[in-house]
Parts: sequence; structure tokens; C-alpha cells
Amino acid sequence: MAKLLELAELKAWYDPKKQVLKGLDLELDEHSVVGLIGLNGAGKTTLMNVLCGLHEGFSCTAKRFDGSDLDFKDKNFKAQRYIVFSEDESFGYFSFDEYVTYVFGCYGKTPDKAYIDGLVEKFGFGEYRGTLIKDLSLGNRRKAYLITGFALKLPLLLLDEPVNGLDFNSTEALYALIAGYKEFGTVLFSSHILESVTLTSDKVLVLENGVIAKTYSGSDITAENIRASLEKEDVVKDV
Amino acid sequence: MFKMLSRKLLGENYSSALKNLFISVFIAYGLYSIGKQIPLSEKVLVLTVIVFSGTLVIQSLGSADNAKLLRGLFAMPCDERRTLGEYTAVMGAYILTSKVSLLAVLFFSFTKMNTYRWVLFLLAFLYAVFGGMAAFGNFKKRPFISALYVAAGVAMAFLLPHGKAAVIALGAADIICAGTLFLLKMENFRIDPAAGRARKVRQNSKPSMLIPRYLGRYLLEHKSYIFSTVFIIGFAVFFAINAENMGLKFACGMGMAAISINSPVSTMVSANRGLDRKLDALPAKTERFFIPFGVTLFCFYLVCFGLFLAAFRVAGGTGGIRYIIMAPVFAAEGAFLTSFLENRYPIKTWKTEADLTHNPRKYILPIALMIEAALVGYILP
Repeated sequence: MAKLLELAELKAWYDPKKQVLKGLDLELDEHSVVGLIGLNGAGKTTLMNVLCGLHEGFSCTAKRFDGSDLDFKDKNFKAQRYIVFSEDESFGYFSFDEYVTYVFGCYGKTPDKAYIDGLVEKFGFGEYRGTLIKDLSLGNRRKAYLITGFALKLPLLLLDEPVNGLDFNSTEALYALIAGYKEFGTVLFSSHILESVTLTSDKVLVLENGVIAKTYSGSDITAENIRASLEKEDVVKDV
Repeated sequence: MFKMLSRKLLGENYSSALKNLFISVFIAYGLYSIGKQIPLSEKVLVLTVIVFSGTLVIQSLGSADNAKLLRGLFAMPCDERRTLGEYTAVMGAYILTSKVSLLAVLFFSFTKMNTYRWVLFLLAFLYAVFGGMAAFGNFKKRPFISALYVAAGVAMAFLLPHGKAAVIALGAADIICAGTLFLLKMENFRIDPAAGRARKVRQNSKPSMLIPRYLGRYLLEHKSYIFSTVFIIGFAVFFAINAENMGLKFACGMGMAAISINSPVSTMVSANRGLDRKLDALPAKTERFFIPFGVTLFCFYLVCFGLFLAAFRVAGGTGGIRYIIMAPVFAAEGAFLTSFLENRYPIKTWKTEADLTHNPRKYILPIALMIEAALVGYILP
């Protein structure tokens, strides 16, 4: 399968003396679902922020997107990806519909109303469409940003801990949407919930000590395997 | 409790407060050496201190940041009076060292300050702290009492007698304010979280005018910004009329520049770290956000300058004709500079909302307009 994103020896830091990502290599195939799992502080959010051009302290020996050299801050790359942050309080004075209109305008796209209506129904969000985002609960705010992300149908969708704050039905809907996104592009999502990666991913990356320590794919993606590598990491940390 | 509060507002071991004081002394030395002196009446001095400090007190007390701090405070058992006393002391020390010290620097550098004037400065500051806190504490249940504190402060500045009588009047007002403040309880300073408020449903999703609509809602949600804008326009009129009476040729332009110091939307992006981050993450942030933002700001400044110029003429000001022509230019400059700074240099290192609203970056625009107003005043006939 063709590569969508390739990064070599990615290092990232907040304090140059203490690296969070220590030479991480990452490859994402086109039209695939990749789960990123790791303990607290492993660097999942830092990796997401680097990919979005929001983190200044980083170095990378090679980075390519869709076969071309990549600049995370380049407007053409920005137009190819969307991120749902783990914590987000942006555009609080827009309603969901206004937010969608604004974001689609940024990407130069026209919202597919029928598709968005379908997503809204799947997430049980209908009654909140006209509510200002700042007045939504944490879970409903998350839904607003997730629906927008899925509706854009961009080649790369980044989701930072998307399950947090969602109710049972919405979580189920989210898993189905993540698994089905391959039709439009690639999803890279981070999570603490084993079930979320085992039910959806083509590939699972275990982030440990700032590098991808383990990669699981196909039938190796089982809760037992992933739990074993995370528990081992926990023991190492405790020692 | 004092330690917990002071660590938050004054820094570990008062490090932030000491750093701010050091910076103030350094700036004072630099500015004083310029040797420029501007005549300033005692009334203007007292009014400036009360308005500036009082606005900061109310902004700090009502900020979302303070709501978080108080939520933690309310979770702990505490002695009401003592906590209120410590809270007042920390808030006063924070505002004095971080912001009002810079005002003191300006007075020290550019006006003739003697012991008598410094006493007035201090008493006016105490009025702003006690009165501001009492006004805030009463606002939810007795808003008319809050209005009385504000009206009394302004009236006192306007009707300020001379000499010892001024000191006695201000001192008495401070004692009354402090006394009535300590009749309140910490509960009066609780800020309700937004989540409990009624939800606002908007049915409109037309793509046009999204950013002006966003800004409009932002302003309506923060009504204190609108009130403080109206208040600062009134203050600018008073200031400009006084300056014109003292023979200053660019008094009207100076008043317009003073208005831009209180532009409530000028830190809208910086104030919301999530919005700043999202704008960075989305494509076309300049075209889709900051250009419409600038256009909206232009209209906002134009309305403010229009109100100011009308009030200035009604109050007897005479030197405003050339500034009527300049108003759209000033508004355009203000809008461009504000939008540019928010786009390229958003304020990221702030801890409390008062840090944000009185960040040195905010003074770039009024200083630029002030210089331009002076040039217009001296060059144009």
C-alpha cells in the first residue's frame, strides 16, 4: 500500500535537555486506521501537536507526505488534514452549524448536508446543533468537533483521545466511523482504551520512552498482546 | 490561605511581585531621564488612579481564572473575615505591583509629583481596591449599592477639594469602603460556572458575517467589556477637555488614542488558548479569520471614536475637526495593528486575565496613535 506519511528520527522536546520523543520513526499507509497507545506522558499528544505544526521544539531527519517533502506548517499540508484535540474550547461563540460552515470555508469545501445530518444522528447530537459550543457539555463539544472532522473527509484525520467524554452510544458510533474512514483517508488516533484500538485499527503503535516500541497489525492486534506490552512498560517505569 | 493566594498571584516567594517592581523602577529611571513634564490636575490624577485600579480589581475578581481559584477556596474550611482580609490584601498587592506601579512610573516620570500627590495617589488606590471589591461583592444581590460605590468614586474625583481637605475626604472614603467591605462574606465573591446558565439556541447558520457575529456574541457575553468601553470613553472626554483647557494642541487626538487602550476585543484570540491553537491548526487563518476580524474591529473603533468625538464636542471641546477626518484612519490603523498582533504575536505567557488585558503589547496601539495624534496636532492647521 502507498505511504501517506513518513517520518524518520523524529525528536521533540519542551526542554532541549529532556526529549519527549527520542528518534521516532512513523509510517502511515494511505486509507488505513492506525491506533496509538501508550501510558500517560508517553508523548502521544506531543506527536499529534508536532504533526499539526503546533509544537516548535522538534527535529526530524526526513518527513514526507503523499510522496513529497513535508512542512508541518505548510498551508497545502494543513489543507490535507484535520485534528480533533483531546481538550478543546475553541470557537465557543459559534453554534455547531456555524462552526461547520466556518471550518469547511477554511478548507475551501462545501458541506455535504445529508452526510453531516447522518453523522449528527449517529452521535445523537440533533438537539444541540443550534447551541453555542461554549454552552455544550464536554461530551457534546467533543461530538461537534468529531462530526466536523469526519464530515471533511480529508486524506489524514488526527484524533487525540477521541473517546474521552463520550457516552456509550456515541462511543460505538465513533468506533464504526473510525473503522469506516478508510474509504476517505487515513486516521491516526491516540487512546488509553484498549478496546478502541482493537476494534478499529489496521495497525497499533505502542509508544514507549519516546519511540515506537512495538507495532501490531492484523491478527496480532489483541487486547492481551497490547496489555502485556503496556504492563511491561509500567513495571520498567516502576523499577 | 494567604500563602496559597499569594503564590498564585504574586509568585513563589513573591518573585513575580518583586520582578514587576524592579521593572517599574528601571522604567521610571529611564523615563525620568527624558525630562519631559506634562501638567496634570489633582482631579485627573485621582480619577485616573480610581478608574485604572478599580477596573483592574473588577476584571481580576470576575475573571474565569479567578473563578477557578475561588472554587478551590470554597472547598476548604476557612475563617470568613480573615480569608476576606487576606484575599483583599493579596488582590491589592497584586494589582499594585503588577499594574498600578506602571501608572505610578508614568506619573513620576511625566508630572510633578510631591509627597501630597503621592498620598492622594495611595488613598485613591485604596479606594479603588476596597470600593472595587465591595462593588463586586454586592453586585449579585444589591447592584444599586455597587453602582453607588462607582458613582461615589467618580464624584469624589470630580468634586475633590484642595489641600488637607482632599486627604481627609479620600481617607474617610477609604475607611467607609473598607468597613462596608468587611460586612460581606466570601460567599459574595463566588462566581457561578457558565455550565449552569441557560443554553442559548441559535437557528441561523448562514455563512455570511460569521466572524462579526462571533465577536458580537463575545462582547454581549462579557458585558463588563461594553461598560468599561463606555466608561473609558467618558474618561477620555474628561481627560481631553482638561488637557485642551491647559493648552495642549492635540488633546482631542490624545483622547482618541486613550480609548484604544481599552479595546475589549484586542486580546480575544490570546484570551482563548484553544482558539489560538485551533486557528494555527486550520488552514487560511489570515484570510478566513484575521481579515474579517480586522474589518469588524475597524467598525468597532469607528463607533467608539464617533461616540467620543460627539461627546467631546457636546462637552465644549473645540479642536476636533481635523480628528473627525482622522477618525477612519485611526480606526483602520487600530484594526490592522490589533489584528496583525493577534495573528502573529498572540500573548501566550499569561497567568491571570489581568495579566492578559494589561500586557505591555496592548500599549503599542495607544502609544502609536498618541504619537500620530501629536503629529496631526502640530502639523495640520
